[in-house]
Amino acid sequence: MKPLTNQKKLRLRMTLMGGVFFLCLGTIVGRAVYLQVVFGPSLAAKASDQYEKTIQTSGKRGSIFDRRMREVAVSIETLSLAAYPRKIQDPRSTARAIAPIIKEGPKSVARKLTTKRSFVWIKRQITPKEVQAVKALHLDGLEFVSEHSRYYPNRTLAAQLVGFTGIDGNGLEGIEYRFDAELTGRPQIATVLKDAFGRGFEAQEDTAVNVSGNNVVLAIDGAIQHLAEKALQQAVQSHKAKSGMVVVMDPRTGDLLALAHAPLFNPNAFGDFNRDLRRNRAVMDAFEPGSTMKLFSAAAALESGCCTPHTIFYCENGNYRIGSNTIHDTKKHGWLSIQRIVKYSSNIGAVKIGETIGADTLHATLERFGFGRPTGIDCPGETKGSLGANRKWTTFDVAAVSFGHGISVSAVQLASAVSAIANRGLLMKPRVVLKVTDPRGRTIRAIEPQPVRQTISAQTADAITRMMEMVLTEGGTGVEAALEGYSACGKTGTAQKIGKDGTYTQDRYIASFAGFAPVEDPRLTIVVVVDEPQGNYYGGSVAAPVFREIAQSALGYLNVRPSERAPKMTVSNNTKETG
Amino acid sequence: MAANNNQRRARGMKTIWLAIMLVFMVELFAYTWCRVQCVRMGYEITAETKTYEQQRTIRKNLAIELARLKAPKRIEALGRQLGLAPPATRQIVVME
Repeated sequence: MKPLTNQKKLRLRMTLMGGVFFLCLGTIVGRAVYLQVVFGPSLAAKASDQYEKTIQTSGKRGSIFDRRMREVAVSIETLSLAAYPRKIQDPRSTARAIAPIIKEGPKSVARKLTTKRSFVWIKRQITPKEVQAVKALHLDGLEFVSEHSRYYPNRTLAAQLVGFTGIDGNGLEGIEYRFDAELTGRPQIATVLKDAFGRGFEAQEDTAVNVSGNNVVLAIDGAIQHLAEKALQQAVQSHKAKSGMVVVMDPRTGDLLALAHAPLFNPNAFGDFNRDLRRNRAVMDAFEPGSTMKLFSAAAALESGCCTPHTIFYCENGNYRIGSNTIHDTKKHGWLSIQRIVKYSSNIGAVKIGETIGADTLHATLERFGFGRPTGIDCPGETKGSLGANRKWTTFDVAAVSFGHGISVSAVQLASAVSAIANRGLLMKPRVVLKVTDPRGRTIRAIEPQPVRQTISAQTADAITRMMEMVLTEGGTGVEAALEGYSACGKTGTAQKIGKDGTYTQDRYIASFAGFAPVEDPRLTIVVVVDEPQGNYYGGSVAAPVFREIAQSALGYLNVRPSERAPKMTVSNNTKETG
Repeated sequence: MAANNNQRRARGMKTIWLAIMLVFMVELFAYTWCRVQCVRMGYEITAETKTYEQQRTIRKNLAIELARLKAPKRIEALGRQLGLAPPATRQIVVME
């Protein structure tokens, strides 16, 4: 056998090496194809886990504005302290360290840190000062989670109407509750790239605006709301009353310009206030209106055609017996026309009107004004009041309803009905929200003024308006509501409250006033209700001055030109009211 | 003669291989540079986005602070401190 030449040896080695390399390459290619085909999707998912991470964010809750686009409720970014208990080596010492900073008991914090859950909230929405102090401790297993919390920059302003949200940002009361679906932001899950240290990088598309909730624009005017709250608060304090409420409405559109309550409450710390104080009582609570109802009895009489403003009734010199009950007037009156019955607020006169027109006419008129059924206002928990079925009314029921007892109404219902008189008989649905806008401010739903029905003829409404004007003239019960430079009209009301035993008490009253101004072109309807004033409890003394103060300031604020026909009158201090 | 031809061919092959290797090397460096730039830009964009978000939060907080400062109750109290009062009806001139 001939020995191989060097060249042949070289060629053989090269062939062998080439074969080995080819085999290696083939193995690699084969493995790659195998991995790609068989494990491709699962390996791709594993890889993406290493360079991608998902972030879940919640969209910001939309804002609530007043009609002049002033912020009433906004969302602010806050931090909440959370913990991963499994990552905490010594939960007790960690609890001892952070408890005094977040002002909680060490035991309760330790309990949270020793739980078997993988994630636990320590304290939601903590202050920046607390954040700094906890961060300075450099403790493992703790995390600050960014959240949104609700803030009401005007604090108490329209608090009962606007309502408030819970810790998770869900609406619990008022507009926050009613418009929760519109206001709530949408949750968003985004995928971001991360580096070897797990830090996210590469900018995300700016989606914050897209996932934010919509905004709600109220019909409320912040300035008028403030005027109403201030005047009401003063009246409630000076008369040592239990509470009070004011409704200010634009009679032409039904817009609620103010909805004030006293006492006030701060929705930024709603937990510190009694539940009763947080309720929107002007919408949710019904009360016996008393003499303000005489307006509607008079309207029923005129509309029925059986009476004119000058039709006279005998007022029995202050005492009138119906069955076993006796109805009294504070002042003795003989014969009075309907307009004087309204002016002097004669209960007996109103009863005589009721007897003349009958239960059916009275009931039908009150129903047309919207009593006994909800107004449909965009507020939760609206009461419909109570207006019993007329077929069940006794003679005394008809008499009682004629002067505002045996019937209950909400302040908003009363304001709406008085606005119908101001609006020449046309009843408007109360409007509390003007529109809903998207996060960029574009209108997505406008709520237009909504006429409900013609309650009485324009002529009857004008006649009732003239009667209401007389209430504010010398000798009327509402002289303290007269304005300087503007014409105004209204009606006082003083109703006894029903005690726990179901009978009328002698020491607890509801004082009220309902009116509008200016008479020739009504811009404001104002209803004032003061619950249980002490001392002087008449509507003309307690509620009428509140009407005057609000109307006087608000008309100036609205740039309403002073009326030429405004009476140049002085208020008599020795006027006696009856209703 | 044949040996010279073989040597020339071998040199030509070497040159081609070197050129191919060079192209691959350049591509590798270019790709790496691009990736590094991409990551760097990613960080820069993230940082700028964070700054933008912070600025937006500050702006929002300032707007809220402004709303609080403009609260009618506070403005009225300040006005009274300065000796101001709501105008009486006769003091109001309505401009048409």
